[in-house]
Amino acid sequence: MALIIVKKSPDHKISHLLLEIAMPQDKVVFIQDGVLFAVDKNVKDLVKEGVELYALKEDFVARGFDEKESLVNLVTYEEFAEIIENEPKIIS
Amino acid sequence: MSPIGILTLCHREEDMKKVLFAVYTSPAGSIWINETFRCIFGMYGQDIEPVALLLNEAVLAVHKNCKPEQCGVLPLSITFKYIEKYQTKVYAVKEDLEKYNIKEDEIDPRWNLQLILKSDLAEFVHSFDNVIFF
Repeated sequence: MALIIVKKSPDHKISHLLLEIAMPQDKVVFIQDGVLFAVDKNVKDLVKEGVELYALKEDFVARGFDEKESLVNLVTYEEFAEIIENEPKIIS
Repeated sequence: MSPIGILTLCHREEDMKKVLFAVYTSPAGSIWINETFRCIFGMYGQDIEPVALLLNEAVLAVHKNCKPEQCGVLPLSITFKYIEKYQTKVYAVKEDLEKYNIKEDEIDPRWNLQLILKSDLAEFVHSFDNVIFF
């Protein structure tokens, strides 16, 4: 199990690579411009089944989106910190 | 070495964290490849085992004719003596080398490069305690 943090937007190849290498039970958290994945209709098809997807709420709403528009679970900074604390491996 | 020294060494090796430094930016016009290796070499002396992975445009660095100094950035060759000194493991994604038409005999041997298949990348990356993309 690993936490994968995606910081760059879907326009960047590296963001897609990070999603490709995610394995079942990994958690992917989109932050910064990575939150743009949260409005991509195909976002769940970009990862293997069993990969959990989250986006950082503050970064999402800061870019003008309404929370309801997110297609993945939104997490606050505090919840993100908890995820970091609980994951043994971090890929970012 | 005393038995206590050997025990301490064993303990330290078990405790060593494996960290992968993955760099994907082109060597020409950016500092990231040298910066990645600067970070890697700084890890020695800590309880960390650093490994380098070159992927995407970063694989251009291994071509023996790659000379970023022509664009005004530091030469890649400054990393070689430390790669040799610390026996740093350096990997590159095979498909990315093929994409840029870099043949085996064009790779500078001082990288001591090992190739990895893209299909093995997920498992490889997950074998580290931490992975940092540059």
